[in-house]
Amino acid sequence: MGQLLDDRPTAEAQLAPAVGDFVSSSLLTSGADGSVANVLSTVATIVYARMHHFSDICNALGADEAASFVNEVRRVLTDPVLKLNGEVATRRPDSILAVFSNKPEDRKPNHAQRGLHAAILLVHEAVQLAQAVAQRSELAHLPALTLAAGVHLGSADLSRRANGKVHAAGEAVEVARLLELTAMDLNWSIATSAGTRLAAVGRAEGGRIGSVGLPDNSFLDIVEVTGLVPRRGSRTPPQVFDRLRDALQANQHARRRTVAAAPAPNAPTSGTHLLIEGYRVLRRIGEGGMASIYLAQAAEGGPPQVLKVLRLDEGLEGDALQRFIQEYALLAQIHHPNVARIHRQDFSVAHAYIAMEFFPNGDLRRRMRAGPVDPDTAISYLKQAAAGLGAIHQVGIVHRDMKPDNLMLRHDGSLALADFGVAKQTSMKITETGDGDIVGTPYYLSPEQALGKPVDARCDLYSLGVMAYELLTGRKPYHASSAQELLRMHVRDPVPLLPLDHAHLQAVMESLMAKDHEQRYPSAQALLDDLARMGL
Amino acid sequence: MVPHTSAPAAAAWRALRAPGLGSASAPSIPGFRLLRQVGRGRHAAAWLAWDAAGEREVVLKLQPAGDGALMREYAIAQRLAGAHIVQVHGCGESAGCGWLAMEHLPGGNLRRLIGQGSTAAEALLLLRQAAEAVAQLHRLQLVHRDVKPDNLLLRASGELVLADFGLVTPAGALDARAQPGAVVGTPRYVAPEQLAGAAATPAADVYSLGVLLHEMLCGCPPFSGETLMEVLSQHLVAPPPRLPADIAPLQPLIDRMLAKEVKERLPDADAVLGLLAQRWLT
Repeated sequence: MGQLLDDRPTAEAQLAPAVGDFVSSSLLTSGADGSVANVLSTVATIVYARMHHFSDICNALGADEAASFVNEVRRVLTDPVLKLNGEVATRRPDSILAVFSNKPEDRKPNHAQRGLHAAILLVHEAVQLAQAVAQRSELAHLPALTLAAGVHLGSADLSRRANGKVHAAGEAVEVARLLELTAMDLNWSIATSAGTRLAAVGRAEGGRIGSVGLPDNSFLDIVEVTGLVPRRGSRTPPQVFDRLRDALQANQHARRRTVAAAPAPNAPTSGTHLLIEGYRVLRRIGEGGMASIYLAQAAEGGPPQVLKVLRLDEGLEGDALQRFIQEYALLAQIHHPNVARIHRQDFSVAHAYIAMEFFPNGDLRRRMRAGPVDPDTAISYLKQAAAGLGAIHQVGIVHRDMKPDNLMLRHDGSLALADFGVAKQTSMKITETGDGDIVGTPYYLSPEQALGKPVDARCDLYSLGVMAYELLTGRKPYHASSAQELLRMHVRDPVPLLPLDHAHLQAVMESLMAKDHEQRYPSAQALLDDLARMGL
Repeated sequence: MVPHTSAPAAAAWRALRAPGLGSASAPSIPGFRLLRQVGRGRHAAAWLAWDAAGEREVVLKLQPAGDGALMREYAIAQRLAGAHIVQVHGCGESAGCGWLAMEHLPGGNLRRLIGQGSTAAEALLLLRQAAEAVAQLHRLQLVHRDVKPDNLLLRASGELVLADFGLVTPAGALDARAQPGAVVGTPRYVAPEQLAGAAATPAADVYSLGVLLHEMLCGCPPFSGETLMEVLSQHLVAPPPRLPADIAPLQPLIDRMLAKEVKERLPDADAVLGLLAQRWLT
């Protein structure tokens, strides 16, 4: 163990500070439990580490052996913390919460380095213990002992007791615990926040990245810790660092072999927090019912993408989740210039999500608001929207909510269809929406949808017709003072006449907006063929 | 497990774990021992709790204190206090958390019965109990505005009990949220005039009871669709669906409860009870 400790600067080699050594930036009185204690609000690095499958092994051992195993785990969890001048805040048989801080007079705070270093040593120690456990035949059938750790530098409230113990609370503690869950969920050995790794000035090797949602709806960029970087001029043999790197790997692999073991009772249930591997979430750009929408940067680079995230715990209606998955799997196969690209579809622990092309130029609605669209462009938009619809209809998807807001503009002026049927449906949980939600106006709804009759791809053609009318004339075909009246117009009022300069398109309008879908174009391609015949 | 947090953001951080299964940290409400979380809504949570003074199990509805919503709900339930109204035991505030203690109804809600399917006769008996509860509100010139199976709970005796008075308003009152196009209530049960932003009337509850009746008779709501707009549009313009032949005699009742126009609908829950007594449950 000793040789694994890198040469530490002498400042760090001091003993853990005694009570009262810490000068507070602010002194608060009264703890949350009502007792009066001195609480020091400071910046510190918190490490939270937990052994997994600890109790399985305890239960399989005899009483004496279990006791010595518990002692050994205690040593494994404690030694690395103390060696790096950390303080033990909370220790349980299978976990440790440790605080790494600096005195205010220290000119170069190095608690992030020490905290990350300790976490790496914790993993190394745990792997050695796990190997010893695995060698015993009576324990061989048990899931492997592994360790997960979360490390975060942030504000912490520390209160030191007369007996030398420290109690830690506050943001950094909560985040460190969340990062431990995150590490477990992502099958990383150590998860740390990107800021903590930065503060450790190159001491920790970074691996995969991700984002994790915090309760205040902000996001934290996270990094996997894959190794310790030697200090400049370090005399420690390079093999030591290789061994640490190997330990981090081995710990992960052992966990992967453990096939879906039942969670230990009382184990904290892992996250309902949002956790997306491979993306850095930039900001939230929308929220609707059960889906949240974020702008995110993929680890592999490229332009930002849109993440649509569906919470899995909210009791999706019936087979909604299955359909969400199936439809996006179909959509992901579509490579059509007029359909938004689906880059990825995946699950995290508590969420299903898709990564989609991002359209910074906004949608067709925004374009129409900006001013009239010239007739040639209007026809081009109509054709592109029809081509996009044709592509999704071909794989059996009906959009059901075709409107200018769902046609996105690219830089080159081309249009792409987005916000597909099920996505829409799952973002509006039908039974639970309510309580003042604004639904919008059914300007584009087909008569059969309004009446609850069977719906097929031709309902999208009706909506496309409404949009075509609006593109050509600058106004919607039906206006009414109430939604009810508007719906009745969709159901029974004739298709309004286009102005004279567009009269040649009246037949096209009639074939798009016919009340009876049998009278409409049979497909989007039929519309495109018709337009081609007209030389458009 | 969870350390006490003295930072001001403590509540937000604690909420981090609140949605977690079994890991929700129980708030402390003096006089009650919180046993387990039994429900979670948009704004409120429900906990099964032991009422030390009353020596009974109760359900505590918890939501952030401040707007007096729970006090109001308590007062309404107190005024109603009938056989088919949930019993309330008290309400108060503690450390920023409002609470309302009410009768624990272990029988679940009406949705469970709908899932099992019921005969027409059973459905009418259940409708009568629901209408009796709603009629109590209507007699006080109040409108429930959120009648649905989830708010109709079952006592161990099988008796139906109306709960959740969070959306109750005086009849004829305009709600700031009730603007055209805004859904107040639950989309599947919402009356057309509520969608149009009209003032709440007892007839809106009759419509919701009609949706409920259809669900009990047929196992599905009268209007469904893939998108919210499809569902709401049908409430506005689609005629009530035809009942299957074996229960076709109930069509006039469904039609008069699900009429689009208020003037063609049974005006309140007492009118529903009257018609039931006169024609079907004599």
